[in-house]
Amino acid sequence: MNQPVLTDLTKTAFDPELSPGAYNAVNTCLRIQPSEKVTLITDQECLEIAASLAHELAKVGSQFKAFVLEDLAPRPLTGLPEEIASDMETSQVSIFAVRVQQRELKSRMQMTDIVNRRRIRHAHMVNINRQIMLEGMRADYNRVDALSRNVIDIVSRAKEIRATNPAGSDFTARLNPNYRWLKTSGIISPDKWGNLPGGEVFTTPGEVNGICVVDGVVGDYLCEKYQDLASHPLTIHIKNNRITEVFSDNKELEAEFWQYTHTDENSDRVGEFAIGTNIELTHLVGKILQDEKFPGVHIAFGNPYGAHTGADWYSSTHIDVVGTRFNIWVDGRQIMADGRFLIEA
Amino acid sequence: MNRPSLSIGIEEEYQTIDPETRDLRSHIQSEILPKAKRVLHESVKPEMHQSVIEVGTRVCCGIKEAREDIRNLRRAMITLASQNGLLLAAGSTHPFADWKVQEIYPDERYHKVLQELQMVARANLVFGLHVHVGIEDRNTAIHIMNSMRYFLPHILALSTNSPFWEGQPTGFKSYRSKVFERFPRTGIPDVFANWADYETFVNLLVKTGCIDNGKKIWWDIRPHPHFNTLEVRVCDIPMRLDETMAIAALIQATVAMLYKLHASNKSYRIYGRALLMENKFRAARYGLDGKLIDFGKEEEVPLRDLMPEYLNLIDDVVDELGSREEIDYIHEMLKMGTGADRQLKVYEETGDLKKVVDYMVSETRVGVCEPTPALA
Repeated sequence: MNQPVLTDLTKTAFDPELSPGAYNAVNTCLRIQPSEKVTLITDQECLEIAASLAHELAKVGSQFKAFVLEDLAPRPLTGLPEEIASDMETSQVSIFAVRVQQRELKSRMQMTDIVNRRRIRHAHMVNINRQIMLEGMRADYNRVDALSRNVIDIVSRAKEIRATNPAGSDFTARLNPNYRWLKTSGIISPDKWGNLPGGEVFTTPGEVNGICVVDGVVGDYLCEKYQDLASHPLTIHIKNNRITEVFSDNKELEAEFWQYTHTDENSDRVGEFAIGTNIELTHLVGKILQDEKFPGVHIAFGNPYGAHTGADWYSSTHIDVVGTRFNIWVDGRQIMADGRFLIEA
Repeated sequence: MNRPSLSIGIEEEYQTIDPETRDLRSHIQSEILPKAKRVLHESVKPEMHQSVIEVGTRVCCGIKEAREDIRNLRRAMITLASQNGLLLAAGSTHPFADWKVQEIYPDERYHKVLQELQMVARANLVFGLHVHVGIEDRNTAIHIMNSMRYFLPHILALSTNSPFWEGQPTGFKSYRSKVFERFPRTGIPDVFANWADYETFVNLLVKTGCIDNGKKIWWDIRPHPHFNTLEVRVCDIPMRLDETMAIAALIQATVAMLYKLHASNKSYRIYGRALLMENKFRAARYGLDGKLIDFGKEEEVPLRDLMPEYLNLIDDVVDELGSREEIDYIHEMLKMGTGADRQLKVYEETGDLKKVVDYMVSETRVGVCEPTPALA
């Protein structure tokens, strides 16, 4: 039997500026214990970041194996490499720090299937980069978690949430009481794997209607391509939970977004209604991994992550759309004004 | 978003008192002002009424510097007053002075105000405390002003020091607030979306002849038209130096706390002016003995219960501001009562408003000068 290809990341040089974010990931977000085994998945693009994470893992004293995707299979991946899948079967924690490529979503879904089945504490750091490590990953996740708990306490009892923004968004979600709200605040538990940087609460809505003007970013590979949409927002009309029309001055974006959201029968269906809760973020960076945590509302079309939300439908795609400066009302009571959560004195 | 300097400036308005009658007396014949200007330069200036004199600190980096500055100013003014046959008192109204006989300082600016506001201006014989906190970004200042409005009644209640007017107990702990409300553009301001929104408002007032510049906006809190500060003007002037410093520290800490919230994408819920003015009335009427409305809970809460909660809200920023000593003094203030409470107690014990004035003069010296020499 061939041995898996492993890289000793503890011998890979990295910028010390990455250390605070890596420390946060290992010690605050994942709270890795010395007795635990960790699967660390990375690629050549994120090797330095993975090295900083490996350094923190070594300091904790936990056992870990690091896998560099290019050493295991050609990119883009058509599936999760067997070596990684096998290692995850005996890990308590996994970290995915990878610059993903188009059409690799299937491999990530295979990974999260293992995470969900085995209840691994999983940090999903898709398209992590230096800027995110120096900004979003340095947030005080205990504070983010505290606010997230407050928000989920409010929304989990809600029937209706309305969101508007100065760019022209005005849409309302009617919530399905059978679907669960989840908190991914950066503090990762076996109950739900989490993106890092973290900071959102989300559910699958019962029904969304209205207009969503995306003056922030769109997700998946379109985020890298189009980045900040402030100068050319994407306007999405939604009726009965489905996209009916999209508009943008950027016709290429318009066409590509429409094509993406018509990949399969549910790609145009609102699968996620989320509120970003990372109150320590000060601006968008053009990376969906961090920007979807920016305080405000974002929605996603496609896969509703039914294993967690309880939704009983599926899509092979999932794409987020992020706007800015939202006003949010929960059952008529405002909880956010101009992008700032409202609290009581 | 760059962190604001949170520098502090303090302005206090004092009464000049005749040691024989204990009534207000003009300082203009005594040469206090020219002598004070030679010593204190631009830190001292006259007000509209000749028995009012105002001092102001430099721009201070922190509360300790402000304390030293205002202490020196008080001491200097007390000394100069004494050398010129006057006493100095810190109180927001005089217990028995008659506003109708007060002389107006001979300055074109004050005569214009008098011409426009007539009896309202002539009757505005009140003395206040103004605290400036440095916030260099104008938009941030507006956002913090919006949020800070909620705390103005709490701050006013802590400062109340004007229970008498024209020889009568008024039933208010801060009657100054009620007198000053007769001026236009006073009270708690409305909400503004941003600096541009505020600037549009000011420009409209100027364009339509309502005001000649932003300085004629006398709200309880305002972005200063010339300095990059948020100026809190809601307070009565306390009697003691330590009370002034405690209130100034509380204002600075509140701004710092609100800035931290703002920087972390949070904000206190914004309530309309009408609701906040209800609380301001309660603070002026009852002081620390009153109840304010907790609009979140929709219920009345005793102010003496609210103040510890308020101090808890700002606690995280106090040590970094270096104002723990000043903030801790608020607990002492809650025990001994405000200036208004203490004035009323003296009157209750003696029935003599001159004794009240004597007490005010004496308290003004606490922490600044030796105790008051025996009065006639």
